[in-house]
Amino acid sequence: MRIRGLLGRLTVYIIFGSVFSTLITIAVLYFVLYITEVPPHRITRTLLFAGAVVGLAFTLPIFFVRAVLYKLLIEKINRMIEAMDRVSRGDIDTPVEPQTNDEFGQMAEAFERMRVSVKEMIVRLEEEIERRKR
Amino acid sequence: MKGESGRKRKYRSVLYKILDVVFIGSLLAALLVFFVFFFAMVNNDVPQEVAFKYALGSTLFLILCWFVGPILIIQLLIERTILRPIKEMTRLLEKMSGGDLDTPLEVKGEYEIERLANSFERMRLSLRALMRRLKKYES
Repeated sequence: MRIRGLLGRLTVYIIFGSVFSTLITIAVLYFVLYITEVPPHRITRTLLFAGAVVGLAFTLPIFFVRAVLYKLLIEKINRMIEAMDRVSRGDIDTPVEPQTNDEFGQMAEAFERMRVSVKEMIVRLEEEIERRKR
Repeated sequence: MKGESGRKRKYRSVLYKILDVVFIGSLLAALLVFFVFFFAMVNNDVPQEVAFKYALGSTLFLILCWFVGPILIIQLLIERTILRPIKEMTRLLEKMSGGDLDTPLEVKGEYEIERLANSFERMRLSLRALMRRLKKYES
């Protein structure tokens, strides 16, 4: 499991959230068992068992959440980095198709518009230069 | 533009897509928590009707806690660390298509966002240098 990077940072947040949720759940369970007058020695055993079940159930899906976040966020960011690096290297002809309808799709659309208009400007300037040479 | 017609879908923030997943997850978690609470009480000789009532009440309370607490905070963090820079870059890209290549990007971020911002600046500077060279030729 990669800890560094944006995904690692998000994973840390999610782990904190899961642990926090588990603790709240256990606290509420203790409270409920307490007011239903369950004897204390049985409360401890029940809490341990329930804590294990709930804790596992809350922490195991982290891998799934990571995969979802990677697909929704990190992959899109890497795609934009690639596209921008391509333009920096001078390749202004490769289009970027917006794949989603969210912030990243909007960004890809804006990038496309920018690419097309800059390309037009360059072509216009080059034609002008060509004409003057003749 | 190619591929533009008919493929235009309604804008939906990526946060809502994440929320969809979170919502389904919370529902499953609530179901699990309800059964854990119910059986924890029934195993300790609490009458079933009482156990059902308490389990339902505490599950509802916990759902509230999850949504107000961790989920909201994680949403906020994603919004602040990722989506704000992305929106800022989108705004700047629109400016650049209007021909303004001189506005610098003011985004602070970490890891991938920092790399994205660096790539953006590099692209902007190289395009600006290219345009300047061409304009000098022209005049």
